[in-house]
Amino acid sequence: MKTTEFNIAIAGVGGQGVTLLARILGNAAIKEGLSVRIGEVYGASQRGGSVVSHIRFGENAFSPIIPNGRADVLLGLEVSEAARRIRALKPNGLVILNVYKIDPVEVKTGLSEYPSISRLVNAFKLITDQIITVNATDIATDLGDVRLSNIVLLGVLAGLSVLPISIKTLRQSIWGNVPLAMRNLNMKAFKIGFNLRNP
Amino acid sequence: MYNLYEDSPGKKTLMMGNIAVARGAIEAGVQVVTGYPGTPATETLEALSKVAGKAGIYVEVSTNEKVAVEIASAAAISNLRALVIMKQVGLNVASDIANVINLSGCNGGLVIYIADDVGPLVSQNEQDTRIYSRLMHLPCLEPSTPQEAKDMIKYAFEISENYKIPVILRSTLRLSHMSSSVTLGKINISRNKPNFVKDINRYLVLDFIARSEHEALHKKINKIKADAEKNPFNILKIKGEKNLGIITSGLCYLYVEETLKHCGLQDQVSVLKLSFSYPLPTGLILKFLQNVKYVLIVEEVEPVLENEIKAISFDNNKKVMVSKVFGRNSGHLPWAGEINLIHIAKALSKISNTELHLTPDIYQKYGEIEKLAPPRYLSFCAGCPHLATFYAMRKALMQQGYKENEWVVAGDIGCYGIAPFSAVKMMDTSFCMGSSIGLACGFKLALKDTPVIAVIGDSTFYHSGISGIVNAMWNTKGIVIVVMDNKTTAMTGHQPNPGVSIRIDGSESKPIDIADVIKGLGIKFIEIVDPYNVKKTKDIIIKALKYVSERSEPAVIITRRECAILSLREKRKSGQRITPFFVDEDKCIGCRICTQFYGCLALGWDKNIKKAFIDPKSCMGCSVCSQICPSKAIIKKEESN
Repeated sequence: MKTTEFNIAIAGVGGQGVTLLARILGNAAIKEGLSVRIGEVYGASQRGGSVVSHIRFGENAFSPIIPNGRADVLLGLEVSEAARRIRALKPNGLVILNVYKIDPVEVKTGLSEYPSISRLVNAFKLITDQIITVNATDIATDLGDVRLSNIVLLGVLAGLSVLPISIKTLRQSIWGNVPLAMRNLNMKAFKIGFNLRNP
Repeated sequence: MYNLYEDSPGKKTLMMGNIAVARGAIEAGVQVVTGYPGTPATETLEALSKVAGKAGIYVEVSTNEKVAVEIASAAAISNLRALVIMKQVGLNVASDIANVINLSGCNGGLVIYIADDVGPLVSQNEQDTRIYSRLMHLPCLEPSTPQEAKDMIKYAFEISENYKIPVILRSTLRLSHMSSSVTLGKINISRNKPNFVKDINRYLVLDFIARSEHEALHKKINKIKADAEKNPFNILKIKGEKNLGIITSGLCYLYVEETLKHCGLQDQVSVLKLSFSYPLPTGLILKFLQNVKYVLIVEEVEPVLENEIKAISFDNNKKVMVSKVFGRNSGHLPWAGEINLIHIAKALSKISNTELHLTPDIYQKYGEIEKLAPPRYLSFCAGCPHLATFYAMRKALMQQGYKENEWVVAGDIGCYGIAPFSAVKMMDTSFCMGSSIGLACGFKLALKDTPVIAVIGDSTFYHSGISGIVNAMWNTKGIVIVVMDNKTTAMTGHQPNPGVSIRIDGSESKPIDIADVIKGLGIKFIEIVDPYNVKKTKDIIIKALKYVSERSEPAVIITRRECAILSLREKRKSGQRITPFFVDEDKCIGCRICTQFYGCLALGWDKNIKKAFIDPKSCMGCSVCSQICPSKAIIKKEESN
């Protein structure tokens, strides 16, 4: 039976590859004939701003924006950005969190405080018990490119068997949407993420 | 993955609204494309420029939106199919020509694609293009999905050519940037042949001609109503007990459908989606109003449909069943900002006097998590020359003894607009493109001895800065004008401007030097400086402040340094390494001048050892922080070889 509605909110900082993940998921959905809507605002990516992509699968998803409290999954490439976008997540929804922080300029200049990562993760528990933390940036750095952290997280998500798309199509979509020279490395990053929950 | 120009009708692809418009234009056989970059319309112009050669289309970034419409108008008068691309405020600039070309009309189709930033999320205002379409009496189409956006372009060209009238295709940000599945159509390879038939009774729009053309325009619009009635993109759904109905247009249709679905009302609430929002299909609307008692009108940004539909039902009150029209005027929808599902659910709740829950009632818990996230506004990229310029500017003003409230910096639109939110905190005003100069002149006039600096980018200078500078010279105002020349239109994604040699379609051109233009205006003080040299920049600004104070004439400083991102890309391409700087912990005294008063993205503060540090992966090697450091603690890393 085709999924009628499945929503993923992806939060991160400009440059972390939030919109690439959305494109990969969106292209995979179309390949499998699954209706998809992606809601984004382009512009903050370059300048280290806050970025969020809404990916909505299924024929019951009309609007490009996930209504508050209806995201099945919140993928956080950066901890404070996941907190900033928590309103999208449904009660007891799934949070997959890269335990990595990028200080905004407001914190660097002393105007604001960045709470400890553990404090933020604990706060998520107000809404949900399903929190999976991943050292995606460390894994990516070990692989040789910090920008792979988004694909690592995608692998973790895929490994949980909640996505309404097949792993095969997803892998093909990654292959087709990353630069030629980076293909193998991306597939490696995906595999490591996938195996984290499926050893 | 797909190629925008591929000939695969029937193929399903993931496409953003703006790209779908570009594809639609290609399928419609567009021949001339003009426009100006502006979020949320930019992608359409860029996408078409990439396939211009292959598709045999002329694509340019025009100096500004007025010129863009003028060029497209002449092309369309000469029988070619032309498309203009802009964001909502671009129409303000183009309105002068748009409100006269409507009178003469065109021969080849002329479609103006305007993407309204609703919110606004990234603009200086939110305005409703559909009101302009009524001022100008230009047909206006509103797609609701990327698929419709693509299909409506072809339809728009047909209407335009049938009635010889420019047509507006109106989108909103969330539609322009939304991606969904789009089925490609066939590409029309036939092209209109250029031909200009002289007709001064048409194209010489003087008063007596305007009078008769204005009357003719209204007759045209009346005829187009018939097309509005049978527009294939309108949707009418009468449901349930015929109690409550919603009339909507554009992206709001998706919000309406989603809300009704989640509230379980899709079988009880009737829906009318209008795709032709000017002229309105009165017959279709009346049919709807004859089948509902109460109507809620959901649209963005202004109550355009709402006001007209009220008038329609008033004029036909004997024929319709509807007794009340709800919307913004009735207080059911907000007057500013985007519409969302909660607004619609609350409005339906209020109207039907029932409880409707869209989201779980745990708002407070969400709020407790959200507030932990520190603010993250847009920031200057590491190595941005603008940040360096503003730092030097502040230093210059302070060195001359001025305090914060004793100077005025009139800013403009571009990346430098981030300055007030950065560590350097400069810039007091920002209005519309090019306004920095005019405002600076006005401040100087009003405040006399207060130092006034206008800050404008290179693209903005060409767009609409020159007129202001002519005024500053000819109507003599002693303002300092700083043209921040980073050789690109960066904010919208690095499109070219007349100061660079490669156009958007890849062809070469002779760049127009800003210094030459200013020299031509007779301005005597023109200095070009590299903002990466902080002391030199500061000294030149001081020199300029003294000059304008003595002479009461404008002084121009051009801070010229390529955008850091472009520089980074070039270096990556050529394999050139960036030598990052680093903080010598032994020399750093922890004064925090670098992080608190400069605040480059690459700089950080280590709380534990109380010293500054530089992220070598982010550092662009611009050297500015090393010049700022009072203890000379920031040094360049030795080249590792």
